[in-house]
Amino acid sequence: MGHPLVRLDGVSKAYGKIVAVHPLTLDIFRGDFVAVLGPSGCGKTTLLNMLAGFVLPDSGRIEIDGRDVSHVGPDRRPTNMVFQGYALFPHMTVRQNIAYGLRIRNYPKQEIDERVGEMVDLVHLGGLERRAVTEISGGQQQRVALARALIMRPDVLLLDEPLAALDLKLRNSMQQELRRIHQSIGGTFVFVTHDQNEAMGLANRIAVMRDGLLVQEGSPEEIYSTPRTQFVSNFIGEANVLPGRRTSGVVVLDAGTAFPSKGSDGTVATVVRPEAMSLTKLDGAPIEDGKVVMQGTVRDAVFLGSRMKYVVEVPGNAITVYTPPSGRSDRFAMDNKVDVVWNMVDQRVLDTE
Amino acid sequence: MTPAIRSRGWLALPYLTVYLLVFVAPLLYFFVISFWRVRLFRLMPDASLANYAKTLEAHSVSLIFTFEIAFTIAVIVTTLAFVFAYVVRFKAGRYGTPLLFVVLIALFGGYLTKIYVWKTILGQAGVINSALGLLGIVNEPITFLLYNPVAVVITLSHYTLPLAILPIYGALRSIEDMPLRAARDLGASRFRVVWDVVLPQCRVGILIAFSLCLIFAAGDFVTPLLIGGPYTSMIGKLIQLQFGFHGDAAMGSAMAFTVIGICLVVIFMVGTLIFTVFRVR
Repeated sequence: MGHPLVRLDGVSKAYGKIVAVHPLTLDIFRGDFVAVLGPSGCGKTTLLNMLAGFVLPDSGRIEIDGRDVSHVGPDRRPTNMVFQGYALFPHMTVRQNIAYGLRIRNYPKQEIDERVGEMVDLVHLGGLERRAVTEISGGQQQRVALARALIMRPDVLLLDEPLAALDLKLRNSMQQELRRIHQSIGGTFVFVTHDQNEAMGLANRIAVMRDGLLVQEGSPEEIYSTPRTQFVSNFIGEANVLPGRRTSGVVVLDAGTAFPSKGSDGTVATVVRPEAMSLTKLDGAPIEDGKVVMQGTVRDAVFLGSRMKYVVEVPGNAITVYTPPSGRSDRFAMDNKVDVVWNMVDQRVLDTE
Repeated sequence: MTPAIRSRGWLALPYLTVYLLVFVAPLLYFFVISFWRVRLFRLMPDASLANYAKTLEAHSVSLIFTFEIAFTIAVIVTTLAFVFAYVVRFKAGRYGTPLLFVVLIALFGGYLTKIYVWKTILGQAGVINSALGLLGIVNEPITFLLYNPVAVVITLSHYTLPLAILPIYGALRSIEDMPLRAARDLGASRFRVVWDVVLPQCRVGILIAFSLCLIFAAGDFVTPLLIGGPYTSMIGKLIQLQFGFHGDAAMGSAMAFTVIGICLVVIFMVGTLIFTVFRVR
């Protein structure tokens, strides 16, 4: 994969006794669209601010394009940020906002005009150049913030909860916009979010953080299909978490089924995605190899258009199952006994001790 | 304006009445008599510019001196006030509010009290001289501290500083923090952030602060009288003499309106300067 563009090496930050980010190591490659995902207070914003230079790390080293920038201020880093709430200059027009960074660097007027024009085209702001930024809509302000940062052609574009302030409809179209812009300029984007849908929809790599720790890092598919911890499995998408215990190579779930699983003895959590499960009535038919079956009672059945959602009660747990709509909605009626079946390859067994 | 608001315009009536009676009417009266003349201590209606001509002729030295001092005070105080307000708003964190409270307390101190405080500090038996004497730096009290223009500048600057801080702080309060960060992120030095983002957004506050200081310093006659000494002939002192000792209210009015006129011209020029230098580029 070559040399990483950004290298965080053992970077940490504490505020007094509160540790915001524990020593953390992360490589970001040119062209990556990285999501730093986690609940509020997980340290993701501190991490972004350390990349931008607003927060200096207590320890470790931040390298961008081979240069150590650990103690370089935000004004002299090859990074630019799209701030949460945009942080536009309220006393300037759209054009003045976008041109600001180049003006500071004393670019010739002609080049500034050219590059502002490029940016206005890229983010579709044509015709609004002379408007005050206080007079345009939230979605348009978002584009101005994006253009103002991108015009600097940063090595890394940082985005702090870029879509949080937009309503749902605008958020979806802006997601598409961001993907299109990322592709068309081929830049490296790092964004922070607490919204897993946003992370899955935008990023090609996701770094999941919790309590100042980097829990897991990988492609969205990897993180979704092979979550390393119970936290990740719950945080990314929906998951059924079934507690159990492993004794000499066999896991017995509390819900009353068993399957072989290598590993040390102890308590485990088995994670299965709702869409990996299916419902059936075996009526005593034999279980196929490599499948796990669990008996339960249907407690809820909802038709969602593209799929059916069932809630099935099993001993000590309620699990969610998504199935394709059968057209025969009476098949698994409320309070009927059913068998929940899934492939062993679709489950993850995590040690919880 | 909506009908609902227009129909409630009468609510402003008491305020307007008081304002007209107490402020506008007397001002108009003095403006009118500034064109009159006084003969044998009696005001005679006239329509002559003689008083103005005489003001410029006889008091031009004093006028220039007055505005030199007033301008100096206004520039010093506005600068200090901006620095103070900036620190309170952006740098002091939770100490900001206590600092601002200290400014408000300073406003409560009486005008004359402050003048006598400075007399005590700067005087021959004052704090500075006592300290220097005790330390053995001087054998005899130094006399150049008091009764000169510098003492007037110090005293009036001290008095007007809180008046200048408040409008600037008010303007800074409405400036958000995040755009300042954004400017840093886009490559602006700390100084450039103040120059490009903070100052253009508080130009009105700065001009108000400057105007308050200038008007107050240009019109004051008590401080020059008590602290300025015999050679600090500021115009306020002379205007007061016209109304009192000379009994020539017409001449006094003409002098006063000359001062007001010059103040407006200076404020207009400084305002233009502020709005040009700190314009949005």
